[in-house]
Amino acid sequence: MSDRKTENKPVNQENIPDAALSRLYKVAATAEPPSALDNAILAAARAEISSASHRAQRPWWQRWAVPFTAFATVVLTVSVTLNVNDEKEAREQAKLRQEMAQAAPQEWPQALPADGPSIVGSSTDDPNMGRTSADVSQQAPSAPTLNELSQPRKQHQKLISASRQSGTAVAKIAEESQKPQRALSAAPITNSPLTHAEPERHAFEKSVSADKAKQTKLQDHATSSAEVAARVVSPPEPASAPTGAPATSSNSGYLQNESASPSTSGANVYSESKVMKAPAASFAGSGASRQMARNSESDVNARSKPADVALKKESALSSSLTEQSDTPRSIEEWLKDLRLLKKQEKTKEFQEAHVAFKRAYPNFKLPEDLR
Amino acid sequence: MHEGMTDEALMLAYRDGDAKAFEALYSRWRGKLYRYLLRQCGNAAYADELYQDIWLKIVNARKGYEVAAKFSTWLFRIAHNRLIDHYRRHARDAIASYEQDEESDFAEAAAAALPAPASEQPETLLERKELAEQLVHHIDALPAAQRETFLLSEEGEMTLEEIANATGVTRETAKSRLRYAVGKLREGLKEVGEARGVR
Repeated sequence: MSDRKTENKPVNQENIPDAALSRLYKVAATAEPPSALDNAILAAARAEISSASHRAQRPWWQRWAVPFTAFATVVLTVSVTLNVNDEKEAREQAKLRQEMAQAAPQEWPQALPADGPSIVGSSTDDPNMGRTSADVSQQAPSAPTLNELSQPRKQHQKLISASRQSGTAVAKIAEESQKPQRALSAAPITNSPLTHAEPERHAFEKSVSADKAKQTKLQDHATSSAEVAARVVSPPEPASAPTGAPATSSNSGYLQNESASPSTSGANVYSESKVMKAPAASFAGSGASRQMARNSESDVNARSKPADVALKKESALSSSLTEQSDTPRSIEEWLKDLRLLKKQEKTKEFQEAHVAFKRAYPNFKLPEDLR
Repeated sequence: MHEGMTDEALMLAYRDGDAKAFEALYSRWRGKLYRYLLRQCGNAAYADELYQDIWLKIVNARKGYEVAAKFSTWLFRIAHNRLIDHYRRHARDAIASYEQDEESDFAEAAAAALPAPASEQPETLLERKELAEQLVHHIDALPAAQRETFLLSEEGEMTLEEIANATGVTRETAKSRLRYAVGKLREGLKEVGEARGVR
């Protein structure tokens, strides 16, 4: 018999495959798959068909439910996100507008001209914005007031005027009293300058009281020396006598003049005044000592006779012209002396005085009557 | 109902939703495919695994099945590829027989020395059974490529062209493999017959 396999196979010369082998092989080929495998495969095949049929039998809305749900979720998420962003931006813009509205009215008062009183500042950073300088100065607690600072200055001025009237010693005391005041004014203004100024003021007051005591002492000395000068009154001396008098003696003039002859009494008087001048010079300045010398001189002259007054004037003039005093003479005095010498037709003395005046005031132009 | 239908028609019916058609189709090819895999793997466990994988692939390919070749060719093509994957994992030496040039002189010589077919003499049933066991033993001794070709010819009932198409080789290669396999098997059976003759 010819089986189906050999009929389908082409005939070849090699007789392959071999029919006998094929039959023999068939006898041996008896193995079969296990039934479990058969059941599993057939079940899978049926499940494949049933699932496919189930998918095909569902209504369209059931088939499209899952993709539609996914799409709706995406759309909702995007729209919510966009809405949240829009709301956020709107809030920020509203906030900005509100801040601008609040800031704008506050800026207007600052633009107005400052005619009126000080304008109280707003919530800006600068606390002094809108305030005048007076307000600032008045409201500054740290700086001392002008009244407080001017009180010791007023006292000082009073003392100076008193010292000028009384003598050079007081003027010197007044100068010394300026030192604590200068220190006080030079000190930096701190938060509590009053606390720093108070001890200074106390010290100044103490010095002022001490100076007053000194002033009274010097006044007493001045009166006593004037009395001494009034006691030593001598007859008039020739004009040449004063020229022989020593020109440079100052502090040592007192001893020398004590042993001097009566012919030099005029010089003695003047030297007495110089003695008075010497201790005074140690206290006061140049102007005050000169004033004091003039005062003592005028006292002396007031007590002597008029004839003696002329002689004394001459001796004082000569000694002052030839001697280089510690205090420079004023221009008026120079001119007065020069006119006197010219009137007396003392050409030599006039020339010497003229030279001395030129030395003292080289830039001063003499009037025509004295040239 | 499904007995007169071709393999391709049954598969198409299964594609269209006929589970019974698949059952008929499965019954036709279940034994052949299993034996093919058993002879090739030499191990029942591996054969079961490969067998299930192949049929599941057939089931999953139901929707896209189109008649491009014979069902047997398509089935054994899937089986061949799965078998190669198995060789690569578990029996790399078996792949060497596939890579050997089938057009070698050895194959031609083997074909030339092909012994004449044995005369068909009635052997006893016992003798036939013993010869069959010897044949199976010699088939197992064949190289994988020749063995497969022989089995595809026997189990798959495929022509040389179909065998070439299923294994991805030329017709001549398939022919050489089959010739070598047949020659070796005849040689082995001849020795067995001579040994009996001696007895």
